[in-house]
Amino acid sequence: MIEIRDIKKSYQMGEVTVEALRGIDLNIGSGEYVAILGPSGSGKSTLMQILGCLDTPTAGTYQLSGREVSGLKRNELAEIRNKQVGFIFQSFNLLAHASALENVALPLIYRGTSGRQRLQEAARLLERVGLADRMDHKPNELSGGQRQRVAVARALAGDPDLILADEPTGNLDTHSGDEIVALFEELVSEGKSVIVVTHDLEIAQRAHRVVRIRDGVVEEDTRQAA
Amino acid sequence: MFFLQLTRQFFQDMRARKLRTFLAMFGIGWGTVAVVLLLAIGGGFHAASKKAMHGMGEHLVVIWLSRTTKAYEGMQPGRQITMKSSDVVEMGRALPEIGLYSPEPRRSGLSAQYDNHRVKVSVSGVTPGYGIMRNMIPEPGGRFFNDRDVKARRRVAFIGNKVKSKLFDEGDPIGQIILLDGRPFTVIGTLQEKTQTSDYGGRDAGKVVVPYTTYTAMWGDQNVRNIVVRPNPVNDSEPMKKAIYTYLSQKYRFDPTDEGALSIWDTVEMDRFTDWFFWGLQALLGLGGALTLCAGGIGVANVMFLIVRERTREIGLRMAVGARDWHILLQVMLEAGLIVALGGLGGLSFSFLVIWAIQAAPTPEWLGQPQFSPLVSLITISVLAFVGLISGIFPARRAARLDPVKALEF
Ligand SMILES: Nc1ncnc2c1ncn2[C@@H]1O[C@H](COP(=O)(O)OP(=O)(O)OP(=O)(O)O)[C@@H](O)[C@H]1O
Ligand SMILES: [Mg+2]
Repeated sequence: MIEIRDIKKSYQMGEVTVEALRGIDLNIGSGEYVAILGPSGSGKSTLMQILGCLDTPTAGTYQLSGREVSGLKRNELAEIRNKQVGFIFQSFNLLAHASALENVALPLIYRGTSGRQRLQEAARLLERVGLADRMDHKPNELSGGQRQRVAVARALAGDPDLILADEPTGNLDTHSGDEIVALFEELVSEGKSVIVVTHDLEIAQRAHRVVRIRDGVVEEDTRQAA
Repeated sequence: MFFLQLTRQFFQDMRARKLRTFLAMFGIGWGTVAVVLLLAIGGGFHAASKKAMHGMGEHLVVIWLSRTTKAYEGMQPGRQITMKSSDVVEMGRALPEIGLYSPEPRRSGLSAQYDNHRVKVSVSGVTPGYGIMRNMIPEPGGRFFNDRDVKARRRVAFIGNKVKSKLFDEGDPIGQIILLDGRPFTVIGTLQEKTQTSDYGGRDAGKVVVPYTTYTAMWGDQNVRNIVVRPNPVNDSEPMKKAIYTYLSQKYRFDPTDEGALSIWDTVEMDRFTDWFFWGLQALLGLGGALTLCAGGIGVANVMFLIVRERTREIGLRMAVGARDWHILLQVMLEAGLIVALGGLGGLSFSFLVIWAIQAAPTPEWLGQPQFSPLVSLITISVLAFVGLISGIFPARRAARLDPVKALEF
């Protein structure tokens, strides 16, 4: 599903060039459940942004489902984000003025799905993450765990094959975090690829594979029994 | 559906930032009022001036026969050119450049009498075309005389409104017999009151006109002092003036370059100048209004820049879930467009009220009534659309070019 070769990313900060990624190779298959670990500043988020087509690498190649995406234009990347990738953020990133239902339906707007279908699909996804009774609530009327579940439902809108989560439980208590991880396990069992950046070793333990990153390179890549 | 979403976003923003949105809309509304009112008042002023000028007549050229100032074929300068009414009619029929024509032999100080009312008037003998050229519109129930009256030399008279009120008070003069210079004439029409700011030989309100044939029969085929013509086509008097010069200089044998022989009052040329003048005035007023509106547009653009800034994270998120650049562009432009549209609508409504109020209140006649013409609304709406587009496009482009990662971290 994902094949990256020698991916590099550097940021120019005035005189200084910060090398966030210095050559990463990684193959991730369909239905894999991967945890990415690493100290702060090691380049985890940078990698996730490239994997999620939010950003492009400075060098290297990236094939997503057999298609080379490293040289695509803005709008082509947007289309991939829209159809093939679901992204979950540490800080939820929900629209404050919109209800849970509208938040989940948002990606579908940019797919051109009709209004009724959008709301039907969004409602189905909210039911699936256990928020059937919170559809009309605004984000500030929901708990942190509930907000992140709305974000998971939004990531699932349009049925993408790849789910990326950058420290999804970072702002949650243990119980809420467990609920999110349980959802991920369900998604994996359905055949989706899930990649999670985390600092929580317990969460990493439950993944099929752990990739450790340090200073912009892969330090260790281990598979573990499910 | 997408549009509905965007419209909702606008109203959410509006609720969140009432004062700011209101001020932006107010700026647009104010500019709209400026454009509409300035154009409408200018238009009314133009119409009023034109109407007053046309009190004397429309597309009218008056020619006085004068004395030659140049020697010609052995004849000394200072020779008076003389024409009779029949000569004028002959010329009018001969030259295709002349649309309407009339001689205007005139006697002033004649007495007009009805019962025991008596008044001094000036009487002219003219053609039916004169009534059209000089805007002598009859009061309902009456008429100007026609070709048959002329042919039959009927003793019919068309009288000015002042003459009518002096002779008849409130009574109906149509069909009544009055005595002009002691001779009986039937009144067939009275002049509708009109604003007349220019004249020669007195205002039409105090005049009596009769068919020139009748006039000749009554008072003799005297030399006419002036003739009245309308060019054909009506908007261009130059070819007609040239044709008349050629015709008269040949017939009465004077130098065709002798500008003193005929003295010409060309209201067609004057009209054209006035039109240009008012067109310029309108353009100036419109420009003033449009600039005010543009200032409003800058206000809207500012608000949109602020909104884009405040919503940077949201825009980043929309991009992250798949919004294309044009989705973002459209969202911002639509919001700017809605502010402009609502402000413009408010401004238009308010202008309507003001124009309505001015029309209801007494205004000086020379200023006229402000007019809300289709052209004014077309111009206003075009300027509004332009301002909306321009004030939206720059903030929208900034929003659409945001980098999703940076926007999310904003
Ligand atoms: N936009 C940027 N401009 C400059 N430097 C950046 C930018 N984004 C990231 N970096 C740098 O790149 C390196 C990797 O950052 P990244 O956010 O990927 O780390 P991380 O592993 O996600 O850390 P954390 O665990 O704290 O989230 C860091 O040194 C960071 O300072
Ligand atoms: Mg990070």
